[in-house]
Amino acid sequence: MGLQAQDVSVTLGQTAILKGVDLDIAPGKFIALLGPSGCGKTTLLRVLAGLQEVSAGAVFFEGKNITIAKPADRNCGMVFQSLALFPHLNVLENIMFPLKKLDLTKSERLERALNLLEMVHMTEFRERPMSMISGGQAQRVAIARALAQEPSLLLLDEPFSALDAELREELRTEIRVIQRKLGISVVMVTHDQHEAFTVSDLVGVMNEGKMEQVGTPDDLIREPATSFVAKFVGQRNHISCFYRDGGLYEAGTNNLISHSCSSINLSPYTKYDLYYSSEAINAKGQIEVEALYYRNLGGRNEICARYKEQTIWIHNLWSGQPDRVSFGIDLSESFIFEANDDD
Amino acid sequence: MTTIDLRKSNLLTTLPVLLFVLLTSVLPICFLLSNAFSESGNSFDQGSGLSLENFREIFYDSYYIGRMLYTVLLVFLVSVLTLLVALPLTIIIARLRNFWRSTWVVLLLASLALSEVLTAYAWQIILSKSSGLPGWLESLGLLTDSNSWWPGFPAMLLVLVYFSIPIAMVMLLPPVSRMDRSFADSARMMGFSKIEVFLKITLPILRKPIFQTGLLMFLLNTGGFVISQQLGRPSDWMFSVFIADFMRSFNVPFAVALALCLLLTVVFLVGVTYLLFGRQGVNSRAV
Amino acid sequence: MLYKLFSLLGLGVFLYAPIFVVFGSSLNSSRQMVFPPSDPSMLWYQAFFSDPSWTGALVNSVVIACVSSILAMALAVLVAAEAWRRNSKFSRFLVGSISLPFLIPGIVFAVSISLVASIFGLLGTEVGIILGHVALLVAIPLVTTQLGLSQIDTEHVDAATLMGLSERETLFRLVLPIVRPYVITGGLFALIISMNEYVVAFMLSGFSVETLPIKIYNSQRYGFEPTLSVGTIIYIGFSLIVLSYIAITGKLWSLLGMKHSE
Repeated sequence: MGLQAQDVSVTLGQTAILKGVDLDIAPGKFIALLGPSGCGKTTLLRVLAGLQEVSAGAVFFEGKNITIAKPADRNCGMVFQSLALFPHLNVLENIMFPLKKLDLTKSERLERALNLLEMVHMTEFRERPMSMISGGQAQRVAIARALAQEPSLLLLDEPFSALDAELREELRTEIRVIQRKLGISVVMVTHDQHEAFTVSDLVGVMNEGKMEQVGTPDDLIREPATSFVAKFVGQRNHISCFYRDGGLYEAGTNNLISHSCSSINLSPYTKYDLYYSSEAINAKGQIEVEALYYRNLGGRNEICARYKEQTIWIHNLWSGQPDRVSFGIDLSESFIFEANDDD
Repeated sequence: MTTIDLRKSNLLTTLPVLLFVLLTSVLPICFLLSNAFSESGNSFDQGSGLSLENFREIFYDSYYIGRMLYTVLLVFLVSVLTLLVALPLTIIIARLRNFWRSTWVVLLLASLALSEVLTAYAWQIILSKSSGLPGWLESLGLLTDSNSWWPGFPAMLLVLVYFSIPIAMVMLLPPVSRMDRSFADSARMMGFSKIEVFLKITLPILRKPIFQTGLLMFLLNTGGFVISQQLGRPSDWMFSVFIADFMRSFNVPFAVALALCLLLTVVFLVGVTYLLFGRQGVNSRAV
Repeated sequence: MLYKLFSLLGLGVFLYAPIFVVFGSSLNSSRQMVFPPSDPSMLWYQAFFSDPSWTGALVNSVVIACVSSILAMALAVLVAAEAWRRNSKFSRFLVGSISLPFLIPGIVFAVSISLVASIFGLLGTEVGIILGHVALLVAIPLVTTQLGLSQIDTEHVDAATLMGLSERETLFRLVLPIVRPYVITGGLFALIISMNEYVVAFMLSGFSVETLPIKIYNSQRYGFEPTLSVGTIIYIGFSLIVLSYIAITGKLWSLLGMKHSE
């Protein structure tokens, strides 16, 4: 049961927007679709909504194949990025609009609409026209309207992108509370990693039309399955390297990265991508970087340095503020993948 | 608005403009008024004195009032028909891919460039027996013993609508293409049919542009006379035809009086419409 | 999907059928307006271009249109600049009153401007028609120029002032290049309309000047003649060329306020 996307592909013209995406969400779970712009997350959401046709693959919901089902038959509600609140109706009328399609009497509709308003704390604004409510208030109305037909699945397309941090936090929490109270499944598209991690049960990381990994936030940080996840989630630094005679060396310069590679299965003559975080460094290697500036964040000293075309952050293991440092990488806290051919 | 500010107005540039405005906007209205109230003559000379002679003539019987009423209703009908045709087509075009959308815009604008005279002329050919539709249909055996389809009310109405459609479409294209597609998507997800979405969402949101376009149609069509004169019988003629006729026969003051009546009627109608309906558009933030 | 294709096709046919018929009739070798043309030939095109009354009318139209649109552009720029610099009651009055001739019913303006023209002895002269057309059409480049000016971020102007540019330098080096395409597009639209305009030209022509639309209209009274069609085709061809140019140079979308992603 729940929601499954199986090998979903969407191709428009010559461009493949989604390439064989798999997704499996148990009922009543909150999943975020996370990724950079253009990764296809909004397209996937629209596929789930029924607003986008698939070129291949299938979508199942509550056991039924809904791949070609019309949006209205899918028992899902959606909050669009622009909110799509009808400008010629006021708050209450907007919420009552979808209720027209249900078999209810006028008073039943009114009662349900008022309950929804109450749930999003917008009761006192019910007469307001769309031009007279704030961004955060509009969000609440949009959420209430999406829930009006009592869907089992709620879809959110970057809902909070136009709001400031505090408001985002507030609305995020509210959605989560509503979700748990109603027991519905939620799929939320976002490009904000912090947002995805704080509020969801599961996160699906996408890149260039592919689903890189689906897992709990913890899984994604501690056990990234692909190169992209290792880099994107946890904001790690990247270094190209190769293995020889028991040691890992930086590609190009042959600087030593680490001698302790016995626990990992590495083969010589293979290019690898190594992803490491700020804390995963030690003073036992020879990677050279030039320091740009320094910061002290919450008691932690860090150096911002230039490495090739990147700027990286590394933990300041040396006293003072050295201009150049040499460091090695602790492989037990890093992730290493075979490099792709197209790198 | 800019921070560059001159303490005094730049007389060098505004004086000629002011003169021009005086000449072409203020003076004409004044002359309109003065000529309307002068005696009926047959030249451009001002009559010997002011008189209400012309207006007495106009309001003598209900003929001109009837013609004015007829014109207003006719133009209203033209506007409504035009919008009925133009709006769905505009929606279709707005959703096309860039290349086709551009092509259509150019095609629409080019047909706009065809003036009243040329439009009337072209349709006279199409609707004529000798070289147009009736002749072909007859030779195909679909019609027997036909005449030219003009002059006549249907012909006039058809060509007036023909003339107005490209203008309406070009005016409606920007707001229609700016309209967020997620409105329609959202309503579809709620289970509303395409027709319901059109009637309950699209139309109300486009209320203001539709209204403005309709108004422009009205102004444009009351101001022209060639199509009406060329494709309609005398009983179908719009008010403006009479104005043109009297000008042509040099009965200037009378023509001017008629023109003044037309102007006042138009101003009155536009004013009333704005007072009644204009305020509603304020709350629509969608386009 | 199919009905969309059909309706667009229908629209295209409806809009351009008269044009095709006129084109076809211009190719007739006989005097008759038969469509499809019975014996296609360029006879009437030759007749058109060798008849001084027709070519004269064409030249008149072109000259009047060019002069009118240039003057209209100049006026529009003056008024738009004034309104942009200072959004005062006076500048708003200027914008409103100079657009007035365009807004009132065509025939009313035509009648009233002819009264003014007769007082100044301009009735029946090209100058009179130019005057009428400029007054009528200035609203068009005015609208496009104002649109162009609204595209200029005031922050750019502030930045220029901070850099030490004088007002004149700012005008020429910042504002003008941005606004120029808009002005020109407005002028081109005015050009096309002036070429085709009948009512005002007719009232001001006093039977002594003939522009092409006037001649076409007058000639209709003497029965059909394919030369009329030739004139019509010239106009449409001209308009298509000008409009395609405007579309290609790209400002069309900004003017229409439409998104146009390549």
